[in-house]
Amino acid sequence: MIIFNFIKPNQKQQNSQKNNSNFLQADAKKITDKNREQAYVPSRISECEEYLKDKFCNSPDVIIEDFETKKKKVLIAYIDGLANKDLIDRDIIKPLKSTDFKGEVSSALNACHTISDDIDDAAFEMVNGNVAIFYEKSRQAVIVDFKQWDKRSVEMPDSETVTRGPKEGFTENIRTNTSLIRRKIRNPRLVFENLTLGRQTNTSISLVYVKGIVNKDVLEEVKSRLAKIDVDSILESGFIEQYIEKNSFSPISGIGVTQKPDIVAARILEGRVAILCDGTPHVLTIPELFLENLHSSEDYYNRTLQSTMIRILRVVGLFIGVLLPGFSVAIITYNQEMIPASFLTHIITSTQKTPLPSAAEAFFLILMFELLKESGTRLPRAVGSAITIVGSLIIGDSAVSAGIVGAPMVIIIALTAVASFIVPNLTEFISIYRLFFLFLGATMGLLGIGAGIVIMLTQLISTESFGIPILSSFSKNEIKDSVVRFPLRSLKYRPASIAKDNIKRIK
Amino acid sequence: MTSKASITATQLMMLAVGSSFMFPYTFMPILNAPPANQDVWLVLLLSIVYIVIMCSPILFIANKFRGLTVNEITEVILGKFAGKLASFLFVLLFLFCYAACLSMAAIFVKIAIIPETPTWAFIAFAVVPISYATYKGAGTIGRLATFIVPFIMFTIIIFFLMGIPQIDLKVLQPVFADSTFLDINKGALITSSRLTEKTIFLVFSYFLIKEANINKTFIKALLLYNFFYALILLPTLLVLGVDLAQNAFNPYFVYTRQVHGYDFIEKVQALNTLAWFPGLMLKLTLYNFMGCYMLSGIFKMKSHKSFVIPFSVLAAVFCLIPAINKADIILTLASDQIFPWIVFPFTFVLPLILVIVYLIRKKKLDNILQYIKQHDLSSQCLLLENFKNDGNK
Amino acid sequence: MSKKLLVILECILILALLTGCWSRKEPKNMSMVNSILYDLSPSGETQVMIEVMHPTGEGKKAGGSTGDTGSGDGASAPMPLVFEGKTVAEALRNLSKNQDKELFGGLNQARIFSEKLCKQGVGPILDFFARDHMTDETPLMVVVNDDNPKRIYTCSTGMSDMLGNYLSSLSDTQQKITCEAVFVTSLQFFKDYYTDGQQPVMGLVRIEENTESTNGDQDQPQKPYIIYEGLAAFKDDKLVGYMNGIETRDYNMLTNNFKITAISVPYGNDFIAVIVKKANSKINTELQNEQIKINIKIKAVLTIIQEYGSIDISQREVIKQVEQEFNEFLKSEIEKTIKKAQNEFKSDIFGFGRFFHAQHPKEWQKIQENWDEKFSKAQISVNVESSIIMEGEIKIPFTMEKKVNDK
Repeated sequence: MIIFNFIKPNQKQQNSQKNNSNFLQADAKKITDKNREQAYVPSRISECEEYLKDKFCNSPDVIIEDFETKKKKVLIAYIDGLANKDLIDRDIIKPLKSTDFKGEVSSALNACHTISDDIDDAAFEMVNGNVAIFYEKSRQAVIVDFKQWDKRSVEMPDSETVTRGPKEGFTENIRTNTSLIRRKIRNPRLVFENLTLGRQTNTSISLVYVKGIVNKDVLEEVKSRLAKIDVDSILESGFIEQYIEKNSFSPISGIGVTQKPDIVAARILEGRVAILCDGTPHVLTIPELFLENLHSSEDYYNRTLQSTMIRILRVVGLFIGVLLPGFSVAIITYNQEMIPASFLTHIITSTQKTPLPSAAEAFFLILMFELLKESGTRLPRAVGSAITIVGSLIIGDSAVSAGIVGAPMVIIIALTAVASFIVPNLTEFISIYRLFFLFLGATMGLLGIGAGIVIMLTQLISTESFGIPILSSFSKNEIKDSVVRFPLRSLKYRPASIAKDNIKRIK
Repeated sequence: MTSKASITATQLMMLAVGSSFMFPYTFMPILNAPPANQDVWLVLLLSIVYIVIMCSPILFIANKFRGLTVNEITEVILGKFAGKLASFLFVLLFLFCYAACLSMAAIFVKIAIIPETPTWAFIAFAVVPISYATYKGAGTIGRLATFIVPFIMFTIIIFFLMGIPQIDLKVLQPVFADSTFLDINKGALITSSRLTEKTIFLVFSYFLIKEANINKTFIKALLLYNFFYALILLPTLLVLGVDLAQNAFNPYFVYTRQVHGYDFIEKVQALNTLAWFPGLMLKLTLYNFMGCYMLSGIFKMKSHKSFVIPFSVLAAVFCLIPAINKADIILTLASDQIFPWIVFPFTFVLPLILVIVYLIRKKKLDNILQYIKQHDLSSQCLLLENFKNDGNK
Repeated sequence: MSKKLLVILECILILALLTGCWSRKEPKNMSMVNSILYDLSPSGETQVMIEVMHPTGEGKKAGGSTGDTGSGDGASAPMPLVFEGKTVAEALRNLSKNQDKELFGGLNQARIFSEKLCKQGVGPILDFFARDHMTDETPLMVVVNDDNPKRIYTCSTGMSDMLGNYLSSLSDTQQKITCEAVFVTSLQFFKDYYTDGQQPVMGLVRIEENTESTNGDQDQPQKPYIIYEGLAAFKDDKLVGYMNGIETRDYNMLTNNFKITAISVPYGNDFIAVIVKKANSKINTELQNEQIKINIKIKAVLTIIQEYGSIDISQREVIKQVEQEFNEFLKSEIEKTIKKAQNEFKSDIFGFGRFFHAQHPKEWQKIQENWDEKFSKAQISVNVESSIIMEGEIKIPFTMEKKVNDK
């Protein structure tokens, strides 16, 4: 499917350029759309109460209480669990009920607030965890930001673990996440641009970039694609990723995903854009080049030689993961003379009593490996490791002794599996192309592998991530930070294909 | 016109080099060109001069009409009808080369790699990556070359280094012993007229980024090509000996079979296949692309894409005609008697005619050129029409 | 629309490939050929014997039962069957009728030829090798100098399990260590065969009967064993004679294939054993009045490894003398060797013709056709220069040291 997507015209992208001249304008338009039948705040608070109860369908977690103060009748409304009750008591109710209250609500509050004259807007703010205060005859609502809800603290993410480097990871709370980034880059030119996506979920999204470094073309492209999203729900950044990517059937998306603030900081300092999505610790970075899947933040924290060696190891792992099953099947079934005679004898001996041809053996083992991998990841950690042991030790061993597969093929697939874990970001890519190469190797031998390499390269080359070809890491400056990593001192330039306008990093 | 793909000088160089050493890689025609003895390396050396001479008309035109597509160049020089005819001749050349190379590859594959596989299966199989890569256009092909060609070069160097212990320098010893200077010249002429890759510089000059210098790229490509040709030719000659190499259908393949080392690397000729096949794909993709591109120019189509599959199918059908699909016929076709003399008129005579006509109509054409240069280069196609209309008024 | 149709058609074609997999061969359906013996039957047909690898890893000969031609005499491994045919291809086809698996020649180690076949000419067989893509140029080529060449499959195979493996590692080792054998692969043979001015050679094997019974077990006669020594000289594709080990050493020196060897040089009444570490030959050809003159210059580097106590080699003059002795000794041996090629073989196996070609290209055109005849009448002059670089780890002879100490 992926291979033949050249039938589809890719030109549709062009007309998107027209209708997004100004992103913010588009955002503003959305809000006015929402408020088409504008609902003003009623002057009587009992009407307010009725309206809100109706709006929230009498939901028990919505707390609407009115009380009398010295001067006025006041109604405060908030959602239980989203707002901080202690603060409400201390900074809203207490000053309003005190004898000093002079009738002016906004000046009496001990908190920052905004004023809205639209009750729907106020309701929306309540959903976000703010407190809305209405009072008699004002036709205004005072909105106080007392958001507080239970959230996970900043922890070490379970993937992307490092031995050296910061251990903190993003949380589900977008505010925490923005603060984590802000703490890395203490620069006023770090820009967050907020918008809300999802007609039902109203998820807040934040675009992060450093002004002056960011690639403006990419930024515009991201904004225009984001503006085109008009869906019910955005529950995770994966939704955004899939709505803004160009080719849904490509095995690589051109969008990076990370859970670590230091990685996001490094990426946006190279001129990229990051997209934070509320409710998920996974942050998107755009664009992502192919080779960056082989990089890890640790590469920059460790010394040059070590990092370079590990990177080369990852490239080897990538090649083994993609090519080894197909290549070995091609050699075993077409070019036996390449195998040293003693080893060929072993292969002949071990496959003598097995029923399957080599290609089917490889396919069977790959299938088994994928099954084990999937069952291991979804289960609780303790059970997961048990599955792995059962799978790898018992099934693998008994498959050989039961005569279903030959031992050499088990070794080959095991090596492939281990190698593909060395580049966790490319697991999908590797498993898809592994099957593709297995098919080609089994049908046409090494010629098939050659043809597969051409097809894979063509696909990678022609894939663009937001206008930037994902294989463009091989220019003169970028090669210093590609398969090898030069000393930090000599990495004077940002990746030229990404940070087009401001590429000098060190003077 | 669609948005213009651009390729860099390195990519053009890699394209030209990679595509042109596929012939030596496959069956090394130079061994059977006169003088056909141990002096063939002199032929290779001398062919540099001939290639420069033969390529000069193409380079002259490509430099002079930089920024115009090849169809526009022929139409500007020769007029609308004759220009289209000339372009069509080029298309025929590319179709011929495409089909001829495909059938040569099929024969080689049938003889040496997978003998039981029927030819139609191989061709149906090979056409897919070619069409796919062609479909993606000039930029992708150029960048594909920068990945495939260095890999081929790498394997050539590795095979050369591993073959060193077996090299027998005595093979080359009597220089000029059995051949006259005339023979060597003849060989160099044939060897250099065999190169169809000269046309790349004509077709791809339009895509080349403005900063790149065509002449420099050409010279670099030529030297690189000759260097790697030597790395293919010399070890083959020195390890197999002249007579055995001449007798083999694919001498380099036989050479790579002899390479061994460290007790476990033996008979690694199949790895050569792994480098050879992508290279071949690149060469065929190039022919396919150039043919489709020029066709789309003739019919003033927006994109070459609609021609890709018909062009491939045509070439594949041509290969599968039972009368043509025979080893002896294809070998004759590829031999020195036929192939170079088919390519020669297209790569030298036709461009030479263009140059002569240009020199005759120099004044008028220079006006057009100046007009184009004054205006935005990206929309020359329209401008040309405008200019003609202006001229008519 | 039509484009989509074409793509779908193409997909179907590709899927058709999956059902085909025409050239696919599963290793478990192959039997690996390890060595092939070519012989001539009394009626003049080609006979082929094939040794294949048994899937359990042990050597097993094709056929499995004892052939009628084998002398056998109690050898444990069964002899391969002999198959005949007018051509090699036919013989191999007849052979395949007995095989339950497809023969795979890609890892063949040795091609063994009988004396009878070689005398008749190996050309037609070589043509078959060069054409068929499964049989390549890497296997070793040897001639069995024995009345019953098929007996070779009853011989002991040393450390290896198969004869083919044994022969190929034996020849490699022998050329490296003693230099009294040649290591000729098919490629080398083809090259020499094609090159004008050089005649090909092959390795030589002879079979020795093991008469000594070591453990007194009279009922179990020992296996015969193989000696890999000397070379078989060819003229075009026909066998013309054999050279023994010493002559083969000289052959290696003359063709610059020399690695290392030990030579015992007579010195007075004793011998001095020297190791020749390097021997480079330089060949100059001249043409004088239709008479070809070949000047050979050999430069050798020696080390003394063993000597009897009669001479004190710690003295410069003595060393000079030893060198002189060595030069004379080697010179006479090489002259003898070349004489043998000239008179007995009338075949230029040393490749002097190639040097003549390079040095006198014009004249070569004229005499190219009957070079071997010219060679057999050529005047040979050999000149050996040697230098002793190191005398071993002790300075004065072991037996003499005592006398020095006594004083």
